[in-house]
Amino acid sequence: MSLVKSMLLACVCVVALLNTTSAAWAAGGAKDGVPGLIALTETQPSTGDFEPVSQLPQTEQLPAAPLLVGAYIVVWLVILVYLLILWRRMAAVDREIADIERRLGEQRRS
Amino acid sequence: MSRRLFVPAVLAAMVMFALAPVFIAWAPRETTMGVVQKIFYYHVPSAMMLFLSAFVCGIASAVFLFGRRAAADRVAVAAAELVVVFGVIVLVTGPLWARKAWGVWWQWEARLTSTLVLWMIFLAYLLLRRYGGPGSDRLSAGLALFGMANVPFVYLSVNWWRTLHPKTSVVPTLDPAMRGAFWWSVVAFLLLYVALLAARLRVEQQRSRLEAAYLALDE
Repeated sequence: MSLVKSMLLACVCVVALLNTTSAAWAAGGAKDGVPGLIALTETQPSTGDFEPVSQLPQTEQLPAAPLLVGAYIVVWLVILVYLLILWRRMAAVDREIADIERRLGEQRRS
Repeated sequence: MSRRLFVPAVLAAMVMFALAPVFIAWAPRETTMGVVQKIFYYHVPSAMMLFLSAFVCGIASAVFLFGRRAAADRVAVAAAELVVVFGVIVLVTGPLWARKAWGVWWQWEARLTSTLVLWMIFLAYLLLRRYGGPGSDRLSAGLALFGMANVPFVYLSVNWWRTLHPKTSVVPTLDPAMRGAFWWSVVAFLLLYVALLAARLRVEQQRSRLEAAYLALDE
């Protein structure tokens, strides 16, 4: 078991090390001009062809309200569905416990 | 303990959730993104609960793994399930916001991808518990430690890599007029989290009781 624990700790350390070194590489690329992803994106010349979203004609703009309402419905729906699942699970377990306790009682009597 | 926590937490969470849209509607409209920015008031607190739950699951798993406490394992299972539930909320509300703000539903950038990976780690935890057979409790506890170790990287990914996602400085520098609605939502989500954790924990406790009863019946 101690071997499993040490292997587990070693794996966590390796993942942490990999994550920090890759993060440091990306951050260093941004600061020192090393050709990392950030440095590359920063040196990309602007084409000047972009138009701010806020200045798009009304017909081309996405309506925000359905997305906002949709997001709120999703939150409520996920919570309510999970509550329903919990309720059903709890009822099923309670039913099973009542049943097994009844059977235990019968077994003791006989 | 769980029942003592459950009823007041559910009542308070229900009241706070019912009032949250009122406070959110009163909060000022963000000028760049417009009304869709109000998804923030549900998206960010859900992400906070996702991270909190990953930590609860990870710490409980460590206690179970190194201290052999069955109660800690029950807490870990309940918290892992809540990581998946709040993860669904984060991973659905985020793209709905992104569609308007960025013009795309999804982008394979650091924050979004690492959040998806975190969610999948805890989904794997639950699948392992369900179908892993004997010994899966210890194996999944190890997986939960990896999941917890991943949380700081998910959180800081926006500062380390150039991403489309806003940085971690958004909440500390939030406009004072938006803070009330935001923290109201955070407390509502926190109470909801406590209530759901208590309820899920009760299911696990009853299952343990059931297993003990089955053993008694066999003897």
